[in-house]
Amino acid sequence: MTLAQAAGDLGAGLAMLSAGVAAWNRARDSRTGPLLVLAGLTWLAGDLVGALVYAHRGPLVHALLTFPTGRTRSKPTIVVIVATYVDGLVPAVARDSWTTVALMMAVVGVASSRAASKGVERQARRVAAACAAGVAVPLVLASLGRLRGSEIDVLATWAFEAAIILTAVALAVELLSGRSVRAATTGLVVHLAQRQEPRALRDALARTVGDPGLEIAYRVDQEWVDEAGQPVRLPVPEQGEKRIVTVVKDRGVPVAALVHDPTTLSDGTLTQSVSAAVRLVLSNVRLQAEEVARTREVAASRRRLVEAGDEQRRHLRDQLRDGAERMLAQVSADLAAAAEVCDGSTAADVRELVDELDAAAADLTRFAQGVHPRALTERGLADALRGLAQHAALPVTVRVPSRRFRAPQEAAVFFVCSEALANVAKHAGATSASIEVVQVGPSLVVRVADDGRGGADLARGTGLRGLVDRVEALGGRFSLSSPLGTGTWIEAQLPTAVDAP
Amino acid sequence: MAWTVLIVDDHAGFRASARGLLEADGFEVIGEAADGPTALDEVRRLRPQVVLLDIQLPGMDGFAVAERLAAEPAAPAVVLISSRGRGTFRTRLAGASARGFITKSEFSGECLSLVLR
Repeated sequence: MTLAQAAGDLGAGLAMLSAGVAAWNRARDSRTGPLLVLAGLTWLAGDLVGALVYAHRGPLVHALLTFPTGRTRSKPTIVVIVATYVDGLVPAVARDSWTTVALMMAVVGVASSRAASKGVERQARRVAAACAAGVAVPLVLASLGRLRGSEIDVLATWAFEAAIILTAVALAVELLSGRSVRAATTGLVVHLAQRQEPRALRDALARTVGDPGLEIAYRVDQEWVDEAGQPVRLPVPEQGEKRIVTVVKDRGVPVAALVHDPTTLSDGTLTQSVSAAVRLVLSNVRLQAEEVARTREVAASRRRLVEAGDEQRRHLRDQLRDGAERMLAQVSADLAAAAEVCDGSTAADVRELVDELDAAAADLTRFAQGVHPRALTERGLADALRGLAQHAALPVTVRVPSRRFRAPQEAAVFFVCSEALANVAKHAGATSASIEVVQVGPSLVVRVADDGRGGADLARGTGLRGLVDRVEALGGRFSLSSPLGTGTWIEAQLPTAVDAP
Repeated sequence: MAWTVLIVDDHAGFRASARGLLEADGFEVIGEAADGPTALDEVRRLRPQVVLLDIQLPGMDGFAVAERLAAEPAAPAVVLISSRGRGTFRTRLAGASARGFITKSEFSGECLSLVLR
């Protein structure tokens, strides 16, 4: 061994020893320090005792494959570590080139697999995987060289010793700085302090803990809500499912819950950081939740107003039928009977009175039908719309399913058609019109079209505006297209779900 | 006063998640157990008011544990839980010594409060 080779050998041993001591001293919860110390001692002992020349392999690989904690529960990892200890303590095995190649490939495979897994330790595991590859490559190349008969031991030894020194330095720096966790959590809090956006918290948190599927819910008024303030139910894991729920507390009070992979968020620093970040965005989430609740209440209130209006219309129609219409019919019948017993001009006057009375009764009936058509309540939308088309001032084709829908939806469709046809008759100068009602997915869609002059405008006239309000109050959408000279096309979409606003 | 609860489930992830959610809803989770015999020991030791008991436990199942608990002096209220729906256990639930049944897909502190009401 030349002086330079001896210096390199000593440097590698001392690097592991000193890095191990530093790590052991300052990162006491990690076993990486003691493992590096053991690797350094066995490396140096190998110079004195020939049987220990490969003994450093066990603790070195142990440190690399369990970095940064020095602990593992993974069975494949444990198998590879045990195999490396055995290999290192039995020189006859360690000298076998094929064994060395196989073992080093297993080491690199396990290290790569750990580097690809989720979790806050991912950055540290990547460093360890790079170091494992750096250590394994010279050993594999030297072994393959021996198998082919070429002698590259000296070069490989230099490369191996350089890799050992770099590994010792990299593991110690990574461990002592706590760089990955600290950088991630600091970045998370700073980022959120600047933006205070709940969505940013979820995204930043998912990136930080390496769990893209992470979800977050906030505790607002004894309820879990999402970042938009909408109430959510948190899923507990069922048989075979892995995602768990962690409740984040601030001074003992639950402020958020995370649904995440159980391998993430095991770090206490990170959990504290999450709690701090949640505090930053919680006021925004509360505001959004209040806004959502207010919007829902307004929507429900509008729907109740429309439904109450329909109910009043039905009540008025029934009162007209049972009261004024029936009384007019009775008076008309009585007068007709009186006319039979009168003479000459008196009888003619009475019959004229009866005719006027019948005309007034017919007007009243039409008015009552306009208030809320009986056919709609009793026979449904299809009959009511066909009746409407029959009494229209122009030919109207009707396509409508015969099934019944909920009363508010049926009433809205009917009044959209009724108002649209009234507008066609009054303003469009059309020769024909069409009504089409179809169920499209969860919506009831009504379209009314004519071939008139167009130019209808929602901003003018209260009729169309009233229809828009009615449709929107039921959670629907109203569209109008009325270019000059090409007719008017109206479409209303109404949700049919029972829980629609 | 908050209900004191013992969570019995062989799925550690469920126990941790349920603990967090129940505590957020004002329950006091005083213990956990992963199987029937441990659950019986913990009930005698901790005296919980409520036992949230998974039906599909290894060895002694939830129904058997509930029956043993019903024979205890000052028996706790037992609420059975399972990933499977009520229909799977309809006959056995009818004769079970339990206050109620909740599927895991519907589980929440609010749901448990309703069952205990």
